[in-house]
Amino acid sequence: MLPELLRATSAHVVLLVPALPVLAFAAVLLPRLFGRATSEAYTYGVVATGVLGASLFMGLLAAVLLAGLGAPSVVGAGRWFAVGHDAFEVRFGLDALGLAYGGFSLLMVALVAAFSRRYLHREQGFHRFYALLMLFAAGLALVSLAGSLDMLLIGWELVGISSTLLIAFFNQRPGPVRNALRAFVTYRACDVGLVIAIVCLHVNFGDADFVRPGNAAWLGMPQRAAGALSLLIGFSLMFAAMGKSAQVPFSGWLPRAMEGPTPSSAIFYGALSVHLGPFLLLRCHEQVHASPLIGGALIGVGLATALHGALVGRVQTDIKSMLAYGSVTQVGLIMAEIGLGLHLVALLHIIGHAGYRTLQILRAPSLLHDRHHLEQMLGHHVSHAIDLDSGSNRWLTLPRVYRHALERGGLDALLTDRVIGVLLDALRGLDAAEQRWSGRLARAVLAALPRGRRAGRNEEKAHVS
Amino acid sequence: MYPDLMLTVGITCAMVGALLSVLAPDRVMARRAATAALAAATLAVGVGLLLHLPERSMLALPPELPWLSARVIAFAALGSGVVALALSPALRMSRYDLAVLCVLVATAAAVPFAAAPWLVCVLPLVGFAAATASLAAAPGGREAAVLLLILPGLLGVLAGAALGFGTASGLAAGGWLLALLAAPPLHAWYLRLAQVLPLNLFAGIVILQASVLESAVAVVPEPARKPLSWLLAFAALGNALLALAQRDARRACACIVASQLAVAGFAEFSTGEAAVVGGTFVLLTVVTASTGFVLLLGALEARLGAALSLVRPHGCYASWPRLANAFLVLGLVSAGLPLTLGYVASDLVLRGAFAGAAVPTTLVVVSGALNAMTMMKMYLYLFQGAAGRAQPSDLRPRELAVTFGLMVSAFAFAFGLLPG
Repeated sequence: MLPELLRATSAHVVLLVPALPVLAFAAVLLPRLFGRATSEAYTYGVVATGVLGASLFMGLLAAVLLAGLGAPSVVGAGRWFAVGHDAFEVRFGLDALGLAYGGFSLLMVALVAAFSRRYLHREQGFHRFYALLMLFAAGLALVSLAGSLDMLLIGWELVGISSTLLIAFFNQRPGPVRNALRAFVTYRACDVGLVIAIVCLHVNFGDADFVRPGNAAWLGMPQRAAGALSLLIGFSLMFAAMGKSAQVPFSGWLPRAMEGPTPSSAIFYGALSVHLGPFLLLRCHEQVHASPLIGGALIGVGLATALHGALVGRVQTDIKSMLAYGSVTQVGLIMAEIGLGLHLVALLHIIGHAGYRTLQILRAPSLLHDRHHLEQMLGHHVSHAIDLDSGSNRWLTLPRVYRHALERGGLDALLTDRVIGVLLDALRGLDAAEQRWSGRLARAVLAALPRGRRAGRNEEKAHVS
Repeated sequence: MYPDLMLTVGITCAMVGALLSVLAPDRVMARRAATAALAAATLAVGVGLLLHLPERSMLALPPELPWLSARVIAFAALGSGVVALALSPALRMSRYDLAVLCVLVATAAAVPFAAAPWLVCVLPLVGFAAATASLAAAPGGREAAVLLLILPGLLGVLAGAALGFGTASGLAAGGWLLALLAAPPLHAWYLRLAQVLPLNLFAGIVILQASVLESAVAVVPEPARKPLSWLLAFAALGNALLALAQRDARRACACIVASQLAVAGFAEFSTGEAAVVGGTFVLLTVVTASTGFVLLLGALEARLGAALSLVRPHGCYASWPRLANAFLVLGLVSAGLPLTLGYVASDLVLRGAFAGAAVPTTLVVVSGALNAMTMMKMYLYLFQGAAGRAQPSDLRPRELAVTFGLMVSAFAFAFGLLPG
């Protein structure tokens, strides 16, 4: 009786988890859109209600699952739209992976919301920050509880947009604007992979839903494709995960993303957003292991990223960049773990790393403050120099390695100058050529017209006189 | 019968609006009169549509689609015309410009009901001729007018003649449609028009293009449809790439809209049922959200008094946060923000078209991503950055009401609430 009742109501309960942050987002933003000034207390109250409400429902779902009253399952919450055989079904997945990641996400969002109340007190963009935080929370809840890749994509996009807008939070400086654009370009370019994977699954198998294979602990994308199609889907998913999680060669945006306010850096690039790539791959682990090529590529990319992050992080001169490269290293290792099939280890690594890194990033501004105090008390400067004789730092004495670390592997220069720069120059050349030929054509036609000839003669006379 | 009568009433109202705006004593009065006339036209067509709308939601209507989509596009065209008029900065648009906008919108509403295929090619000339009158007065406008009359204008006449006489109609209609949708390298007229025309009139041209495209399936013969859909997929990608390279905000806007129209064209000529419905939704997105952000760019220019470049951040957020937020929302809807009309449109197009044409659909996916990048670049460069002198005139109540209505409709259409 009770399991039946829970199954019947779970679709409505699970819908509330992303809906409450969306409502909080609207409640923060709409009054300001119509010119009504709201207080910080109002905004914080709305946000706290939204996050705590969503956490409560998430907790309820987790409790049901833990108490053994329900098995991991996909619950349908209706149909968004349908044309012929193509329908967008609203499906949510209730399993250990989604509830663990979603519950942890909401906990982190709540902590960061509480921290930011004082950290951003009287900051010009206080309300904007909280509105975007709610959009982010809704996106994360959707990704965590998605019952299909279609639903996951919606949350994935919301996370990307809120992340971009928070990088550009301090909008008076040009730096955040450029860095936000860079992050968004990377996100969108790599999202193409996710979209292609979804479309391939729909066209070939009719849906992109998660299912529970056998008695597996969590839901996942079943392996249905074979051959080239399987490779295409697997590599597309991997490409999407690489962009979101700043893997080599797309890792350049992550340290730049630290331009945003510290709480958002902590939650996005230390804790949650950067781990969405591994989360996607955990959901679709059967696609990753469909071919040794995909698994091998994932291990290669993960280890290369970890090495790159470890080397580059050691020569950074500011603490946030150092922490950003620390995140890159750890996420690289998590990717390699997924490639090796160590899924539970990867999930524990995600949660452990997210918690620890968030604490480090939130502590970073006050750490600098404390250090200045320490230096004042000691009366002398505390050295920041790297001890090149200790442990793995010896690698940095090799000129090539040191140069690689200092230039961040040359990846930024490669992408900016050799790929994007060349493409944009070529396009601008084409654009200029178009303006030239169309101008000549139009002038030739105008000159051929009787009034045009007369106007030309008049202009000539005026010029002579 | 009844909806067609209401449509006739609607188009007549729009033409009366054009007349009233010319006869009005000043620009503000002209804007009010024309807006009221177009609003009456929209209401007439909307009532006709609602009375004959089947029970089911708009999102599940393939069998009735040709009937419905033509009327929905006419309704949306007139509604967007009201928005374009209401957002017209009175100081920067003459009474004649307002009249031209009414003519463009009336033509757009009339095109889906053209009695013969050749008329679909020729009817837009009415709108183009009216736009030419506005162009003649603008600096550099004569060159743009010539390109407008040569590329979509003359090619339209040729296509109309070919359809009328039944000779080489596929080639002629395809060429005309590529020019009309500003497919590279036939896009010169479009970018110049965007640079020279007041942006509200440019929005009128976009509405007309969308309306013509909805009717173009009847114009292009069957054998020419598949090659045309391939060419339009390449055009979508080409325009999206060009948009990314632009340094001028107006040209970037024009490229984005041209790319989206090409996506709509690609979908309309696809074989998949979902793709065809998706094409109509792309057109609705263009007519609501894309024209919306074009109009808000015009509102921003009117406040700054100059054309805007994308070379450095302009820092307009500090002065006009509401304008910035509205621009962002409409831009993201247009780029396919989840849970909006743009998302529904792109989702349907991809699902419907991929099975029959994997490569062009992939190009469409890439063009969508590139358009979103340009959209975000425009928002960041126009609104973020160091603020200059603070200026108080954020969106006025009239502008806010219209923009909010536009945003709500972009979300409401996505959930099948309107009409249905």
